[in-house]
Amino acid sequence: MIRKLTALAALLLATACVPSVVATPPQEPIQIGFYSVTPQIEWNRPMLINGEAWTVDGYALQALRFLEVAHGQTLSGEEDPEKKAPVFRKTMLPNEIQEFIVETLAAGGWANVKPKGLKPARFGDLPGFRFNFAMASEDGLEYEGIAYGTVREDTLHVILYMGTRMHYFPKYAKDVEKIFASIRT
Amino acid sequence: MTRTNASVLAAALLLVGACTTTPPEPIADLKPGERPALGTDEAGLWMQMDRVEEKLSTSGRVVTDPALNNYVRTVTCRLSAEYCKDLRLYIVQTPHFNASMAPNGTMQVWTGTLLRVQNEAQLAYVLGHEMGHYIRRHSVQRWRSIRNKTDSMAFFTVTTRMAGLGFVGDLADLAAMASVMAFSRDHERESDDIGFDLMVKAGYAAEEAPKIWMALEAERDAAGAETPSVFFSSHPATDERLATLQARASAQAGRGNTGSKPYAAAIRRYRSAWLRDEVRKRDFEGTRIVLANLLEAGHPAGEIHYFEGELYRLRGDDGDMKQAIGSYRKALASKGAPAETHRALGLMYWKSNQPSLARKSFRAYLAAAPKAEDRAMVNSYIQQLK
Repeated sequence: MIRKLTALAALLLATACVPSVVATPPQEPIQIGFYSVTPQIEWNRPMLINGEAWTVDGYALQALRFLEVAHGQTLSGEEDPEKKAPVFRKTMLPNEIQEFIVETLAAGGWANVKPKGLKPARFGDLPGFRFNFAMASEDGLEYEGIAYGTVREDTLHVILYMGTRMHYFPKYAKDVEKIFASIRT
Repeated sequence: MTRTNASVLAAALLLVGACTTTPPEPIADLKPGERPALGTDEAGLWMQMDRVEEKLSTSGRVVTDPALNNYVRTVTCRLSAEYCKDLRLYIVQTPHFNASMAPNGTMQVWTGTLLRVQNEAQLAYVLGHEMGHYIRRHSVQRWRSIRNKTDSMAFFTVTTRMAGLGFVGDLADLAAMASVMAFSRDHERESDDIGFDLMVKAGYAAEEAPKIWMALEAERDAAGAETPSVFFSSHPATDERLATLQARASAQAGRGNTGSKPYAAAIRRYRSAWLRDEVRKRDFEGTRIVLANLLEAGHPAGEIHYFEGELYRLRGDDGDMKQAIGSYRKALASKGAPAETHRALGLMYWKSNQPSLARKSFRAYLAAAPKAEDRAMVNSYIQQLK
């Protein structure tokens, strides 16, 4: 089970199978499921089979990932035969969703995952939430992140922005804030 | 990464072994300050362990807090002042019981161990046991013995057994490589004796030594076979060993100190975080045993019942919401319940369609934690519940 979560954690920063990469047009809205965002800058956008993960400098340095998690699914969407992986439940309140994301990261091998500043946020026209988090890789490199999401029709939609605390997270943090503000539902 | 390390280590040891054709000879205890002579297989083993230690030292899971490190180190040095300077302590944040000692003096203690031992005497026994492996050079003895049986890869079987543990498995690999794999039962008996002698000599209560083993066995049995024990994978336990330890402890009972108060004081700041890691394992039955032991050891009932509630809430089976509410209420009726108990109770009341109780609980949370990070969110809950 946890191997799969490790795989998710890796996916959050490093995408192994990248068939092709295109740059996002900065001011052209891009549809992601039921909502759209305006990228603000050019991101590398691999055409993945499952979901979206954007980066500028490389996934080990920073990543902007768009996740869609149905009721009963893990954050990675993979099955857990041992039934011990954290799963999303449609009745979860924002505090529990925060816990779900933090637990998944911790189970995936990230150390000292610490969330802070959970608060309400508008996800387009929908009520949502956001929080920041800090953590360290197994090698001791410090990372920061933001989770921004909502629950719509029993499905969690969350955007995770993560990057190294030094330089790469702050490098595009303002652009990511503009992306959050650009969400149209 | 870890598999690669294991392979590199295996290959290196096989090469070292290939240069040595003499059968294993009786080996003297490691003297304080001693390092193996260059060109020996033991020096090769140490060199590999130095690399493992280098990797470990930069891990994000190493707890660097000076107060906690000083405390555990002080207990270690109380057991043996002469070997103390040769040992390097790494406290690793992982919610499983494990402690290990590499042949080069790298000592790992996982936070799951610090959560489970009930007092300083039990910690001293665990540390003393690991020092026994170090002083008797069990790792190199084991290596030479296995090499002579032309089954060198059996040296690394513990790595395979850890495979189901995920990222903990990676750490377990590191720990296991550091301790150089499963010890024989004879080695365990020797280390039992050394650990026991060291703790008694240092003035600790002998009767505490078997208690930690018994608690671990109870937890392992409760958790079931599907949850392998990291520690028992490299430290085979037997009824005979426990009986011997109990007999020795009985003969020395009532003479030493448990060190319960200093131990409780040393872990007070960290206990809540370690309990959070523990419930995240979602090993429901095993964690219930851990919580019961903490309650018995006198840790604040309010905190323990809160985490019992968290265990039910996270499991989320039929009836667990009611059980969680019961545990949270019990926590709030006891001393030491964290402010988060009110919030958790509010969430459960809300989900069980009791909005006025939910609102009241959320207000109590904000009153108990006026600077809560999630204040804005909890205020929004209160607004929604009006």
